[in-house]
Amino acid sequence: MPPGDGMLTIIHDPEDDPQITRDALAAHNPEHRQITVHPTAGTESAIVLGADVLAALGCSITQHTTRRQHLGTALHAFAAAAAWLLVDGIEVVIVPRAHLLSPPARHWLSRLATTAHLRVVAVWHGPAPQHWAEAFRHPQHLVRETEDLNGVLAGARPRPPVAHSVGEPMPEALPTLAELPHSGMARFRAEAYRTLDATQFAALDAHYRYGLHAACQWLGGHELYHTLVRTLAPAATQRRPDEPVCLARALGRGRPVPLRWSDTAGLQAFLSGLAVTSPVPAALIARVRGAQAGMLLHGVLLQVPLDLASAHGPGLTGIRVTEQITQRIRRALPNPRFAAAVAVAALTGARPSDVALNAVAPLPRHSSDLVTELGGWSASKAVYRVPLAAEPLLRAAAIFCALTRDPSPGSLFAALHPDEVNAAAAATGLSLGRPWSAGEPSHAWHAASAAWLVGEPLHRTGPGTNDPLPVAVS
Amino acid sequence: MTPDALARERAWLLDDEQSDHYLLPDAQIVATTALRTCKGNLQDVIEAEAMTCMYGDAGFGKSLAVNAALRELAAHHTVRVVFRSRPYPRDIRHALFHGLALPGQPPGHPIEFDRLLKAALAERFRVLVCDEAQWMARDCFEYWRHLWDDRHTRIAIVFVGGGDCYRVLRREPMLASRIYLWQQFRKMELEEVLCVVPVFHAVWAKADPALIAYADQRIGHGNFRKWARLTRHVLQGLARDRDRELDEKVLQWVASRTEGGDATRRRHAHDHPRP
Repeated sequence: MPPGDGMLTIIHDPEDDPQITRDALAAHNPEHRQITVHPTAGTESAIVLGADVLAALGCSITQHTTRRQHLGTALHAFAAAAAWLLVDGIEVVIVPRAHLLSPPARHWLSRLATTAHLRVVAVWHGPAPQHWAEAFRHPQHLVRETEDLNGVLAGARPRPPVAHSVGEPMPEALPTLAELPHSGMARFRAEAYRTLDATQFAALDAHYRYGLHAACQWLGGHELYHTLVRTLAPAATQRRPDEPVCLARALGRGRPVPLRWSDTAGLQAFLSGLAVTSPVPAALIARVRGAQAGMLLHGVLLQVPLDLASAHGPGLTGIRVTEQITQRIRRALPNPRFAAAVAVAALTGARPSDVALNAVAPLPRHSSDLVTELGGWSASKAVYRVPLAAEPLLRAAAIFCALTRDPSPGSLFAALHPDEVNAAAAATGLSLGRPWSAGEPSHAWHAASAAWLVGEPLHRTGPGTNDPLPVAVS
Repeated sequence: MTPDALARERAWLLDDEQSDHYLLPDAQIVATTALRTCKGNLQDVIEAEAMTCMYGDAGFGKSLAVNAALRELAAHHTVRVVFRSRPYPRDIRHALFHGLALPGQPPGHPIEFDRLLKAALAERFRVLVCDEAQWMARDCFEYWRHLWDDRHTRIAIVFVGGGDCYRVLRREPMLASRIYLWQQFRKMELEEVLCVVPVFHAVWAKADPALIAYADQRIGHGNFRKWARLTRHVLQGLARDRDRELDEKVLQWVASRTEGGDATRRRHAHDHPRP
């Protein structure tokens, strides 16, 4: 029988054998997609059972969090528990002492099994009721009774390993820089080479190269880019590969350029994607300069804000949302919506209170690009690439909204008060949202960026092509 | 009184040996058979980190024996809680919070509270003594079980209770299947009374065994609490008349004070003497 199937498995232990309870508690292993919920003694309500599930998932449950994060009803506790269980891929929830649960709490468990597509293993240490299905109000055909707890738990399978981007510089490889070059793309690398010592330059250059290669790869795989290039004069695009070229020739008169890069959302997603794994602002700036260089090699001019270092947005005023940061947020904020709001503030670099004031759409099913009013120009939206580690928070928030039948499904955080999000951010201890001064543009750096095709490509990607940046620095 | 304030009164460590003695701070702990058995049993329970139940009628020395034994076996690891009326799990949480001397204010949410207590009980081994266990309801026993079953806590739990305790605990399957051993405290036989009472208090040290036997038959009934009360009255009687020696008349006077209705009838019949 496959796990995660909405089944209710009853382990009947009329003698209340302590070994069975110990085996059930020992089976707690979220990495193998199964958790054990040890219900709080002395309470039998579904609300506390929901809090027990959240606690088993690693959330910190306090009187303060349950009150401030609106988890004081059975529906909200249920929605939060189901949302986290779904995004965590939990397949088995073991509940010892099930005989002590109230009928509503047992029904709560039954709904959890069917809603979160998991198997609930209820260990019943007492006389059996007449009908298990009635006791839990669970569909008869999904109820199974056994005494073999270990047999039931034998099918646990490990979670797949977390995917990591290939070829990205290690975050710790960037030592503290004496001074980051202020120049634009054309002189950035040369100035860095002159002003930084060899170790610092090598570290910074790793990020520069990362940005350059990322831009080459992104453009090479983008349909719009190939369409635009085809509009250029045939003579320019059909040159022999060994024919020498230069930028001046490529930008010469008579070309049908510049052509504006119309996929603004795609460009924003690509640029914010550079920030996803960037450890510090200096690394992001190097990546952006590298991306500018890489795009220009393909005839695309990328324009970013002039003073990039003092701009705001992902990678500059935001923080890198790693697995550790995600765990920290989740631990402090059991309500998925609050957790996602703080994660959005972290990855966008926006102030936490602004997250509640701007529309943030749920993450599309097969995409990690978040569409929001945050950081966009007036009446326009900005797109943010969401780090892999933050995706579960956003998906859990969407599930939570759906299960609680939130009145504003178009925006994840519309129901939250800005002060509540501020308080939630403070509870995580993360330093979020650098305040920006009056007169400073409110849009994020990547939303203020634009690109044009300005000439024919100098660098062609594909098998056998050379590294566009052949100068090795040691 | 708030639950927190009550809890402060209900939990304490084994730091006050004299407070064990009912009415008699200057009495001696005597090694009765029950006390020796209790000590051996508690040694086994501590080694097994198990649960045990010490039960018997009031006054048979259960609490004193457990305290005395634990003072020798685990003086710095024992937390004792006692409730005189039906407690709730919340009361146990608060009592343990203070018994374990945890810093700060007690948490408001039971899950947070339990996490804190479990973390404290996982730091090192503890013996938790729950006196007057017969007052506990099912949810309280379930709470003790909850703490004991946790994979990380390192505790032994000693339930001490009156005559009903055995029946109450036996009918709870979650405890009946977890109690490592049961010990019943019974009244002392006369032979044992004659051995231990002279050691118990100086006033009996040189007393005639026949007088002790009379005292036990009339007042003590092999019950240590009654013997403590008897001794206290004897000391008061002798203090009022310093020329008087401990004799049967003193004991009759004590009986008249301690036996209530029966003694009143006897006084009318025999014109009971004053000491």
